[in-house]
Amino acid sequence: MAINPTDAIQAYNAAARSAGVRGVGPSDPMGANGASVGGFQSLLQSQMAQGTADPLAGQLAAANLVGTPNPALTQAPVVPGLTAPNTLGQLIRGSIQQTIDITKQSENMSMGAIAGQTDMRDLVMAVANAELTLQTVVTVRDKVINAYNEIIKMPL
Amino acid sequence: MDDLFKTGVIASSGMKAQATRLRIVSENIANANSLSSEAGGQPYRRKEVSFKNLLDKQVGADLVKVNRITTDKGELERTYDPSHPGADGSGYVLQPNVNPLIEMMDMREAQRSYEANLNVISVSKDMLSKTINMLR
Repeated sequence: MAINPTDAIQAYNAAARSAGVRGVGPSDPMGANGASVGGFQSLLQSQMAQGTADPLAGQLAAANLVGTPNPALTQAPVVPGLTAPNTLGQLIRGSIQQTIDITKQSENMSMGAIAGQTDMRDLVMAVANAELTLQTVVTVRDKVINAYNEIIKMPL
Repeated sequence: MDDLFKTGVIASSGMKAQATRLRIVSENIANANSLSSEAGGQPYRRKEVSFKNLLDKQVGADLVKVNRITTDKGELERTYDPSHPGADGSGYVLQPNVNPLIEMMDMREAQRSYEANLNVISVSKDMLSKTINMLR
């Protein structure tokens, strides 16, 4: 419920801008929403410094979305939101953690509804929220990983 | 929380309130002929529901809540039926003060209000989906 699609698009645009990839939607040329600017850049810089620029984060994200939590991700400190992630990994980790929480909530609601304890309207809202949040995270993940792949393919 | 998610919470509180209202209407209609079983006793009295706004701190907006369910203190009609077990000494039985026409209008109001809230939810969900689709 805490993921804001508008913020997600801004975060993606900021990351794409710093990586030199074309963003989507109404662009923000001044970078006024600079909270997320540099997320992609700092990830690339740190990995280039270590010489380990591999698409690890994308793999981890893809593995986590199907509901089998990766211990490396779940034990990591929880990122409060999408607003100020330092790296791409943190951005993905934080949003996936939120998706898992919201999905669990909707599962609990469904169980309650089967037992006849939950209000139907609460159930419908919880399931709709889980669906929208998952949709947001999957879309942002796909876009960010596409941008990352384009950078990897870039001839140096 | 996103404003469009808040919209869903607010509208669903309105739907819950209208569902309660419809439950009361159905009680009234079902009991329109419920008379007393003791001599000179009281029959079923019509119930009324009232709503109030309630500020939800977590959402940061006014939700709807059922304030109280009261009984209608209106006058009861009497019919002459000496053979009924609920008849008083002079043979009159008190009738419930349920008017089917009033209940019908209440039911329509509840239905329309529920539909309005449903529309708010579907519009806000649509807006959210279209925003996400911009990324594709």
